[in-house]
Amino acid sequence: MRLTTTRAISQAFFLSLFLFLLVAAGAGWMGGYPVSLFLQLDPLLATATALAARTVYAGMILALLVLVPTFLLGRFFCGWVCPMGTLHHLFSRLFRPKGMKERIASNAYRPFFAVKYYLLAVVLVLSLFGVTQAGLLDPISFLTRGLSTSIFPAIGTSTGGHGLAARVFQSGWLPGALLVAALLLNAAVPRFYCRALCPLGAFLGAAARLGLFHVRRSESKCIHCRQCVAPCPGASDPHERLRRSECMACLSCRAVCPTEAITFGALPPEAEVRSAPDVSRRRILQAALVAAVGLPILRASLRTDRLPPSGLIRPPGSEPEGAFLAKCVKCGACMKACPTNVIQPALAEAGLEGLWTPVMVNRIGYCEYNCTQCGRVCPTGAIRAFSLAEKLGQPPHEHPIRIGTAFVDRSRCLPWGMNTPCIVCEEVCPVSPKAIYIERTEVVDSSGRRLTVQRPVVDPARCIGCGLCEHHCPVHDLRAIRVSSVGESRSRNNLLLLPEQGAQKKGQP
Amino acid sequence: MTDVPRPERPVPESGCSRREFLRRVGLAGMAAVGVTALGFGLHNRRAGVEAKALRLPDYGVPAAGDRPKIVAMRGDRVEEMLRACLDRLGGVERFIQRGDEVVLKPNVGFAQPPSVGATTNPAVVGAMARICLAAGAVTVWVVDNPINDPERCMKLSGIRAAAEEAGARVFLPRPSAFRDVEVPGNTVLKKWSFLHTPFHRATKVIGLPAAKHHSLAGATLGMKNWYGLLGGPRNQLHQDIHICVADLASMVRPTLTVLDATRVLFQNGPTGGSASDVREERTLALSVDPVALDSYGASLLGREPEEIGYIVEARRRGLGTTDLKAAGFEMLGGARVGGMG
Repeated sequence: MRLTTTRAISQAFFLSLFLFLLVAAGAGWMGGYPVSLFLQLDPLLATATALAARTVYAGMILALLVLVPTFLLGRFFCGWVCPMGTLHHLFSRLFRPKGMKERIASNAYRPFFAVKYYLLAVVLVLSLFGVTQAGLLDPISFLTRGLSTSIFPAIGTSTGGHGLAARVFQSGWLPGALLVAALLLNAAVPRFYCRALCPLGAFLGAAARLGLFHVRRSESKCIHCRQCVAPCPGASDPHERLRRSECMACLSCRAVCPTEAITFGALPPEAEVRSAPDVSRRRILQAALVAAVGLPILRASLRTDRLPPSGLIRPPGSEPEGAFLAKCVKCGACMKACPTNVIQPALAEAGLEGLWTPVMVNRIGYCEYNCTQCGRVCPTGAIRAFSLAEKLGQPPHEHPIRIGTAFVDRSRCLPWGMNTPCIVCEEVCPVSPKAIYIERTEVVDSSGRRLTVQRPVVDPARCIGCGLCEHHCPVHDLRAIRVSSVGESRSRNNLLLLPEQGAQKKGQP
Repeated sequence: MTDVPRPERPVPESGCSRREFLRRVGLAGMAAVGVTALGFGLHNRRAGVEAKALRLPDYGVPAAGDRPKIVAMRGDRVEEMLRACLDRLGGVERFIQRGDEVVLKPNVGFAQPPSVGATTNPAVVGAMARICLAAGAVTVWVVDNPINDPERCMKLSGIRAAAEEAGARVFLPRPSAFRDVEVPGNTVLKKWSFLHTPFHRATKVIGLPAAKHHSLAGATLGMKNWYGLLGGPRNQLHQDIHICVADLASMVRPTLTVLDATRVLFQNGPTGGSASDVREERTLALSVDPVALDSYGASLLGREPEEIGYIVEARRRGLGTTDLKAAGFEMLGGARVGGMG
């Protein structure tokens, strides 16, 4: 079998595997699938979160499986494995010009392809200061987010999906629109995203500098026909001195060369190739400086870790806000995995830094009492893997994981504000004993009739902030019982009760 | 080429050729017929009149004079207990005939494991499905529109597994499955969005409620179980819960109701969440009288029927009796396992 055929099979396999795992990440049948495999294989996400959080979380160690072979083979990940790369490959084929001359021209190297290296510099410097923005443009994160919060829900809605398939995401159109735009850019320049924007490509391109194997061209055999440029996805100039940092090791050049001048070999002389990316040291320093100077300005606005906003409710098992922002790569895997759709991409709730990080919106869903999926899929430990016993506070754990606390809005609540029976919130409260208890009060209604109403009262020591009460409150627009973040287990300053007080009350029947 | 060339057909100066005439008339005619058909097809003659709501048929079976209307039994072998109770009520063939399409409505309200008693015991669902299929039912649907996510509820409650193992089919609610269904009589609900799809061909309907504590309604038993078939903003019904549950009892007239009191969620209902909220009662009760069944069920929760508004209201409407003696209540196998406490 020709090597290029093997490569095409590899690309198809990994794209299919990626899609399968992403679909498997939804629904109740997630089973034992490693649904975040591709995110864990991503060395950029691993490096960025390791710089920001000073730790390589659990499965992220798998990123070595990509990074280490890159020192051997160069950017093979881009050409053989990356599902985003494969999608761009397909779209660039769709828009491919007809003539050989035009194809060769479309794959010429352009100086602006160096932009990705500057973006990488910015992203890594930000990570050094504990701000992880790698996920904004990282291809695996970008694709996971676009598919999870936009494309899959669109398919679900338009095919009349119901139950688990019917998903809505607030401002979910945005990640999908950006994904479509990125794919359509292939019409202007083939693999535009991979060549000019992809920070993972830049990361691997920088690593490929050390690559032991790469494409080499025999000057004596070469007839300078330039046919090798026509299929080149990386615009790596295989017809002259190869740009090693751009080459995706796809070996198409080798396949089309009429004189077999191109081979894939070990350790050719350095003079044959251009090893380093086409960037100036000065520019890289400038980019780093922009990040280092820009960050304090960015942070001059109100920080969500200092003064927690009431509406910033993070999924159970989330790290404290500072560590959370250092670890979250905004991939949206938790949003895909959540069975109730309660996890939503933040737009402004978490500040500029927290764009697309997960927040709970209880009008849309609620945290299912017996569910631990978000923690299981999070690749970076922003939401750490937590057990059901830990979530529910069963032995040996002393407390349940609190997401926030519910508050009755007494002017909107039917029994409190309008002497009308209701207590749906008490009914659906999943905690035992219930965190919402009943206060029976005799009242006089507008016609002078005496009646007894049952009024809901929240016991903050029992409430876990799951949001079921808010979700089912019949006051449909602005709910009469609402969860806010105060009391969340993950925070030391967003406290409501003294810890001992909570512990004592829990022991009561 | 000896033919004399045919002279060109004369074309009238102001007209068209015959061929063109036929083509144009044909096209215009087809368009006219098409739009007319479309117009009448879409025509709503009764401008301003709401579409007529559906009404559910009475799924009940004719009374059997000498038989009790309600029986109960204690034990651990669910399927044997069901069969024994059915025999006493007149045999399974009184309720299920060959060719029946049966809807089973368990309480699958919450995504909780069966041990916390928030949902109907899956063994009861499985056994009832098996009994129906063995009696000749062609299809047995297991249906509910739970409070938590339907898929998760069916899975965690164990009801999907039990139903499918027995050969029944689980119906998950979807928007297109709901129809406005009329509630007969002088009612609060009038008509309400109802999970209608599995009912449109059903010939028999069997309720499989669980016995649970409920702060607002006092208890959730057989009649309140039909709440789980409603769509729309149903959490508003809590504003007049007793009348609304009585309305539900007027709306759905089942073939039979089986109260699952194998485990009774006696406090912290209807969600439960802890083993300490559950009492092993090991009891099943079967009844053709929904009011009698709920009256009996109330006693298992330590309540008097007179305390529970919807039971009183349903009796007032003539939907059944709260007098268990009059309903011929029998505790089967009483000699062996002792009387009911």
